[in-house]
Amino acid sequence: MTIFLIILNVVLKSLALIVPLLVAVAYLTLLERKVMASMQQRRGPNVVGLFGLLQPLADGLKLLVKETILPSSANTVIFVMAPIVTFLLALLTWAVIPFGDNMVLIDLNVGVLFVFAISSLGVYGIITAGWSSNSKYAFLGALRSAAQMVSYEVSIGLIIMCVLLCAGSLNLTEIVKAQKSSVVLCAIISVIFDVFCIGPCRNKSSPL
Amino acid sequence: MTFDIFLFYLFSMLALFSAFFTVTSKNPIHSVLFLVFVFFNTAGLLILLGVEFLAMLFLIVYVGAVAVLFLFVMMMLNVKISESSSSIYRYLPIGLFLSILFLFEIFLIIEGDLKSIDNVVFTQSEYKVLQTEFLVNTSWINNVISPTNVDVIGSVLFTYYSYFFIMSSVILLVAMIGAISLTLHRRSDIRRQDIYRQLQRDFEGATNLVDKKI
Repeated sequence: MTIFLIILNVVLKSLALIVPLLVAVAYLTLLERKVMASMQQRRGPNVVGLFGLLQPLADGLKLLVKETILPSSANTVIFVMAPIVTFLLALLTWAVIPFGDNMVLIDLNVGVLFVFAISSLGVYGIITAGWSSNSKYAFLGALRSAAQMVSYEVSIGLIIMCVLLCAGSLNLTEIVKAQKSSVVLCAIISVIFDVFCIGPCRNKSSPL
Repeated sequence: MTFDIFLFYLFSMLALFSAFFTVTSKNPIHSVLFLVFVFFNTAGLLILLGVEFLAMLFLIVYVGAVAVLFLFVMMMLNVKISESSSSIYRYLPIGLFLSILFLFEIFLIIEGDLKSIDNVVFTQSEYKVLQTEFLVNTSWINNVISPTNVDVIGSVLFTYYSYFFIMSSVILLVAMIGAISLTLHRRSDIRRQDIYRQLQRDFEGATNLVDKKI
């Protein structure tokens, strides 16, 4: 019974984290499309709902009802597994992000390293997705972006190290608390520029 | 307590099975992916031991870097199916010999350094004995301060084992210099990109009129 309660607790906490996160991500895509459209003097999505506010939900519905195509020459298990792995790893990082005092799913002592490790695992989703479809072009693209992710890992590790040295802890909650003193803040501000340069390259998206 | 033991058996069983499949699977890509799974489960075992720093380093270094390179090489080589199973038996004696040697070494370490697994799965009465020992023989300073993994490893690594630390860094540096020097050598017969010359070019130098009489 206690095991059941513990599992229920974990599941409810995870849901309370994941559901707002996914909704926020959906609406951030809407924001991105709107901002990019206004930069290019277009309207952007404005048909579904008021000002296109239901557009993310429509997109999600479209993705769900699309026909699943499994290429006959594909390696089926890996082909199905690759997007699942990518999505799971993207969500897993949020388990250690503190949202407030004691508002964190797992208070790891090595939280920063956990984030780093999980983000370095993201390569697998991409490289297996490229390989499993048994197409040369998909594979070349996967190799390209995987090489990009691997090579930017080192520099982002060095950047994170600056923050760690100033905060003196690997625990994310401790790092947040260390921002009380302004020394850490200065270090982080100097680091922000580097992150701004490297982040888009690492996530394979153009900086708008 | 029981949940820990359940997790221990789960992780070690999965690690053993996936290690078995690493060896036996026909497709080399599957082998590498199973190897990654072995690394994962080993990291889980390390977390169960309470050394989460080492577990995270294990994930970053082995899964995030080394196995990715394995996967790269395997996919680039495009080996679809490894050679037929008859040739596997050729390597069986030497593999068996090496694995038995390795197992022997592991048991030697367990006998010498670590407690055997029997001490972990103790019964209720033994647990009480252990608890009283715990009350008497615990250094309470460690329990009050409770240094993290990183603190302990860092304080040992940078004081007692600093020579080894510097030595390993020098070895890594040598490996890095070797890798760079392998790719650095220039051949005259291939055209290479010369960034300095590219930047030096300007409009006047790049275009010229050809007086071509037809």
